[in-house]
Amino acid sequence: MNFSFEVMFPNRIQGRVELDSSSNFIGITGPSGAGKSSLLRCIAGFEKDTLTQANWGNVSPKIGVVFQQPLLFPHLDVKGNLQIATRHASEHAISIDEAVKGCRCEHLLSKPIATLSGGEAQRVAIARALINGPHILLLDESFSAIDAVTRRHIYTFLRQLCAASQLKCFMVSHDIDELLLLSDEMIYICDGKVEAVGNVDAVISTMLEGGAIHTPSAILTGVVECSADVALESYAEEGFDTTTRKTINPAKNTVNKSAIGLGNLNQSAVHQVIVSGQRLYVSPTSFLAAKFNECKSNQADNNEIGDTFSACGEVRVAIKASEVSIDTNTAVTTENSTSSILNSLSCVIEDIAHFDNRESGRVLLNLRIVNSEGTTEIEQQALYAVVSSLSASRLKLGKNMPVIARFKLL
Amino acid sequence: MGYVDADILNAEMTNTVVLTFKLALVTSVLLLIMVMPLAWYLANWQHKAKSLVLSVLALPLVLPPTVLGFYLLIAFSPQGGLGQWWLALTGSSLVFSFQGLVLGSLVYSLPFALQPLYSGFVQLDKRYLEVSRSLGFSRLESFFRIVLPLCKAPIMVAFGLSFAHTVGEFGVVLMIGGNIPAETQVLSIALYEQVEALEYERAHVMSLGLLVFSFAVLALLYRFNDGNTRFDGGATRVNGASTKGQERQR
Repeated sequence: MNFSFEVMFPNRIQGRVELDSSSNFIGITGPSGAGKSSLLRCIAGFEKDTLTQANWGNVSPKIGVVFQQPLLFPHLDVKGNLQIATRHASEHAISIDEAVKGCRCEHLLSKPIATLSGGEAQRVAIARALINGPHILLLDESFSAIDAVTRRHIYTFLRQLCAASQLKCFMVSHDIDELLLLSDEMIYICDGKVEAVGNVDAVISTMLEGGAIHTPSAILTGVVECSADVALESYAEEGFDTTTRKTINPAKNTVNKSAIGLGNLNQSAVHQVIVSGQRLYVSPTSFLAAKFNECKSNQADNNEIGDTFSACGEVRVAIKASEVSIDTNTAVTTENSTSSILNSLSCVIEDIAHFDNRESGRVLLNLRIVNSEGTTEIEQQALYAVVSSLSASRLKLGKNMPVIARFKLL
Repeated sequence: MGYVDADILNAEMTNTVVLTFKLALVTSVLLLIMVMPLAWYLANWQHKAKSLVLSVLALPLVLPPTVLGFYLLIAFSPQGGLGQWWLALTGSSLVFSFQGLVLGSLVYSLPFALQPLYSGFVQLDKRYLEVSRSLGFSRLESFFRIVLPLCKAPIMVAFGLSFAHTVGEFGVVLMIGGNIPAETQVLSIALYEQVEALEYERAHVMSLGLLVFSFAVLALLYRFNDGNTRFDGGATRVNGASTKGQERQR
């Protein structure tokens, strides 16, 4: 059963949103002043004189809110702020220990609120909301002051909680790449109206058509096979001659260290992700686990939250169109390339779109990733690339043309 | 001042000082209890008549005390509505009684308690309440657990100002309380009496005492207020957050 809500807030926001019941993380984006925060305030029931009808499937869900301004109670310290949230906590609420660990604020417990930095205060505010055990958590740019690494850790923690409990998160952000990576579905708001609702691809297409974004990002779903350093160590043990050129053998999860020049990389920071049967090299901070249900037992054993990507299997990776370059020489893949660009994907050009402003001198390529032989995937994943008009004509790029899409280590 | 007689601090004077501070304490405590919900209601009330109501409540700030005292005298007299009701209820007159003084002081010092509380409640970021409601707190619980601790400074200022102002009250007390030793004679009236009787030494002692007391109260309030003016939860360092919050407040 889907869940839905309809809001009518004169001069601020109006529209109807229907979302899939399996969607746990819903991203909300749009230009400044579009009505994103107003939508959240309507959902939370903070706005009087508005007409908000919601069907959550649950009779009366507990709704938690975290604003951009953390609004921690200054007369209490961090611990006091967290403890006060336990007074009316739901039965399914997580403990203070779990929340502070997941939000990385264990070291802040005894600090007065006035001494916290903006990012620290936001982390505590998120932990406080979680300790109260909401069914729906509204995050209004609540991560704006948190550093990227910590942010990614908390995102993972939140998605895990969503998978493990009844929690659903609505997150407002201007960072579309992060929303794409996190969201099961997205809501795009413009000029006080809900312009698009649905899966991320559909919403991005709408935003692209409406000119809201010019360089879209693609979300690729893949499977983490093992960290690159594991593979490299296995080669080291086998005593490879560094001058030998070897190709990747996906079946064995091995990679030729000398062939792709990984010797100088921070190996522990590189993971191998198989996308449509093709191998990508990704740093752990660049991907998020797509599904957590499958790895819950594994995490429970480890009692670790957020650092179990390898065990989780399916992950999502966001790739900006502006970071993708095109090579028409399809014979040159990662293994035999002399370029420092590490990642390559065999694709076919599906469409070539000129930007509204032709004077920009750039075109947007809509690419379809070719499933490699032996993969069981039926759907073909999409990728975007922005290239100059000059390159497009020089390389004689056209529809249905096979190409290699290259991009650096993510 | 060195030749002040020892009998200056006689029983009469002690009674006057005790009565003055008793009146100030009772008035301030009652005002705080009565005005707090009023100030909270007014701070959250949106109506065209709001400015009118606030003006009426602030009248004692600018009205000559004798004007206020005159109308209170009429109301408190046995022929007046309130005085008649009081007489029927207690069997004693409201005029020239301590109870009458308390009632008069409540009216006279009301804006001194109301204004700091009203300003404090208006300045309080209402999103604290939204957060507390989202955490499951009832309105009453939010008020006692969140609003009152956050508005500690305005509450103390309201108490201090109404206390100090009642101690220095003269016109209204003279009109409705007269000058009955140990019953309605407060310090300011006693001082006036000493001046009338050309007892300048006693007048000096009383004046100096009131001066030092008033100064000490104000110094304490300013010191306390300076240390408790943070209402933002230490979060305004988040870029743009304060601006956004202020916009929402409008």
